[in-house]
Amino acid sequence: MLASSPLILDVNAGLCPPQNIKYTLNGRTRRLLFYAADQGHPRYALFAMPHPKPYTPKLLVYNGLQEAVRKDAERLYAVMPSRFNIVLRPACFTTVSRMPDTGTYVDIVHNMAIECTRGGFMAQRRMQGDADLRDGVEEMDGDEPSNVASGEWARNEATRGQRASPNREAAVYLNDGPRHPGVWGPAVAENADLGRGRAASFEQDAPVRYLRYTDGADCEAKDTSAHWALLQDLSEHIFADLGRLLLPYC
Amino acid sequence: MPRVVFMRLYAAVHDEPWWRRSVNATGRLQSHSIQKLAAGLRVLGYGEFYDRAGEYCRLSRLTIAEATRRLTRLVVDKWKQTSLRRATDEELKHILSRNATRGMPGCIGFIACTHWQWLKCPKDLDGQYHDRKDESSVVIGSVCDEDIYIWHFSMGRPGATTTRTCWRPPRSFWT
Repeated sequence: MLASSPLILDVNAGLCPPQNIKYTLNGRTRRLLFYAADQGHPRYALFAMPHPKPYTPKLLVYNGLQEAVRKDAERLYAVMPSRFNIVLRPACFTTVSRMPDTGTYVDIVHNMAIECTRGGFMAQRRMQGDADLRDGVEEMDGDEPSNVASGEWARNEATRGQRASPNREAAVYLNDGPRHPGVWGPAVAENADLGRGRAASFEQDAPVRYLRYTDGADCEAKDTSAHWALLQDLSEHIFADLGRLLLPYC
Repeated sequence: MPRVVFMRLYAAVHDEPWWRRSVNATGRLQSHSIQKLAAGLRVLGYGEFYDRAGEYCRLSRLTIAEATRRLTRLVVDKWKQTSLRRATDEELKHILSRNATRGMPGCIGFIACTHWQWLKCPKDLDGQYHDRKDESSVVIGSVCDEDIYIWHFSMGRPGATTTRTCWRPPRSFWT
């Protein structure tokens, strides 16, 4: 299922994990964002899975924390069927198209319920995003956007900018530094000279949607050795801050 | 389901041609849109059969089946583009910073999948949707965040395509 899902098709095309965000793990900077998955998935660099043989204390700690963090996905499959019992029962539809329709319906209404019941950040943010999207579409539809509308738009942008800058230190950085060769690029040491590396392998930069670009994205996102390196770096990162991270689960 | 969601669905539904209350040829009022909406929601929410809510909603089995079908289509058509779209940069950044405080910087979501048994799978599709329990089923895969908000949803056939054993053109063929 995974290999044919839109998620992986986007990854194959080099579109899905955005390339303009970088983060630092264990002194190495990466651009390929990852999903937390369980043991049933392939060992791609795109997935952070539990280590199959945790032979060091660091890997043991990592496995524990990864499963504790990923429990939300398991919680989803407890909450969603209890809200929509139809998912729990055998489906009685006779056409193929009604299956994904019903599944999509369940997801959309589940999201709506989450938006309404959680008073937190993401619900309001998401609804605000929808409103902005609609405003944008209306503005594009109209021939002459009025000054009032554009003023409203600017004010929305300003408030969004204010909300986007929290006081605490950011863990990820947007749009900075020179690009690596390749699509996401390999993990590099924090103080490495990126300019020289770029010049040396300039020929690897292929235009988006070209075959060499998508092929490079495919290789990078599904690299098994990069997956093991990611697990190692994550375990080091977590072990360094053990007390604080494991506190909620003690 | 929260009342707000019901009101949101009702606001989307109540002026639609099939849903609004009509008058038939003899001058009698037909069923109200709340009746049909409640019947459709009961089917989807409790997994009931179509004739189960007949006494409660005063509708026939076929009307409830129609209401369920139309409700599904309407919600998917109306909200799929906005509700299941890709995360924007700002939302992504928020998810990332939230996961970074939990110890996983760079994590943009949690993947999980489950099977949904398909009882009335047509015989000709049975081979494609055959799972390891010798039944027909589809696989639901989702990506959610800490708030169990679903960011990505896909549904597909069960089988070994999650592993590297699935067929795909060898890379050397293309390059």
